[in-house]
Amino acid sequence: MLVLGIETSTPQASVAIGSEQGVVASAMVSRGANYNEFLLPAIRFCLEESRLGYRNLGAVAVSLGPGLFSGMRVGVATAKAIAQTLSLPMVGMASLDLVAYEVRYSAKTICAVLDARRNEVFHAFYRSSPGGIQRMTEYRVEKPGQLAIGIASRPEEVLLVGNGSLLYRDMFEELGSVCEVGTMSHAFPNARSLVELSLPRLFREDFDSPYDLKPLYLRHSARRIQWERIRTERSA
Amino acid sequence: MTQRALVCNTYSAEETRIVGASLSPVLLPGDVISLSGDLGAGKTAFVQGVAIALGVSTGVTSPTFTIVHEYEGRYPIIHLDVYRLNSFQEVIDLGFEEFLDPESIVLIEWGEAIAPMLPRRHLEIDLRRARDASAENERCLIFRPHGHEWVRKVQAMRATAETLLNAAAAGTGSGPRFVVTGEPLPRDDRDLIRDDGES
Repeated sequence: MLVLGIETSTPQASVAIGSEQGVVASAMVSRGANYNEFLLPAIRFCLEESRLGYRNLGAVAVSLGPGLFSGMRVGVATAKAIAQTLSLPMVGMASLDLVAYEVRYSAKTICAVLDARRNEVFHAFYRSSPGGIQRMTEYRVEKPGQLAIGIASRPEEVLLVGNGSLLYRDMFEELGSVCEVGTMSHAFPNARSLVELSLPRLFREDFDSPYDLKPLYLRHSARRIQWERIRTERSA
Repeated sequence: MTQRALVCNTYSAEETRIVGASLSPVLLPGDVISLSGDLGAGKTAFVQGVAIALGVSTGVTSPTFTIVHEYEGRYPIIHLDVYRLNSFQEVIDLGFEEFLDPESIVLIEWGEAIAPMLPRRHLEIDLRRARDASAENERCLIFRPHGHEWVRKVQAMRATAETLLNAAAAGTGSGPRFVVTGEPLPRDDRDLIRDDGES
């Protein structure tokens, strides 16, 4: 089954087309184009260069973040539009899972950390399991210092991957040898891992409904804007 | 530290635009400006002045109904109006945190409504109509700099604006336009102004 994978939740956007036999085409960009300028031409490029057409696709996999809002919005909307138009099944995966999956051969506990801007990071902890990874914690958004405390309080050694771990590496390296920070090649989730990781779910027919699929927004604020107070003060 | 507000009077929307244009030479990507003032107070006119002076050629209009406008000038400019939003979540859902990227200049109409979400260093501009209802086009612009660099930028704007306004009003002798006041800053913001280098 040919899967189209779309991953736009970080500043590094990518698309890939592949099956259980491997990825046949992929495209990636880290700067310059807007997500919406990049995405459809990149899909067309992957299809054309591999001599495929939209009709050859069997499923759509999309990264739901957590990540940057504008990217997730474009990626998820595009994936839904393609899946609905072509009547294809779709699955949504978490960006942090993709980052951790890249280093699944490590015996250490894996912590995937992505930059959430505003001096916060998205993160989750994983351990490798036969054929993949197993997530042990919820997806969270925290200050890097809070995460460092969380790592220090764990008994085991931790491998940190993702651009958030590089951005705040000084903070994590202060923890000493219990904490290893991964390299740039694992800094971002990518669509190739997304395609690979989506296949088991697609074979199980564990699909997501395009009507229910939403990006993972970890930041919430129930706070209302105090328009009454503002208007009263202004008229005073 | 106490920071003083700078008060400027303008007598037409065009003059408000001139003041906006006078601020533009000191603006850099990453700068955030919050504009407050009733409908028709001149928030959009001020933004027009800034944007046109930064080389934006397309029409700069009020984003009250469209919420966000993006312009390409010397730098990318994001022009946002939160007037129709009701909760902080809606602001987050717009991708507000990415608007604060250091790549764009961000101007927020009704920014006072989301003051806790604004970066510590920003420029607050309060536009008020004259108390005298007969002075229909008269506006009072109050600049409240939050952070040292904004104090400096507002001073530079003042010098430019005085020159431009005097040239525009040549011969009419409208008198001094700018007054520095010791007006205290709004309640919640006082402790944010220390400007100790933490962002």
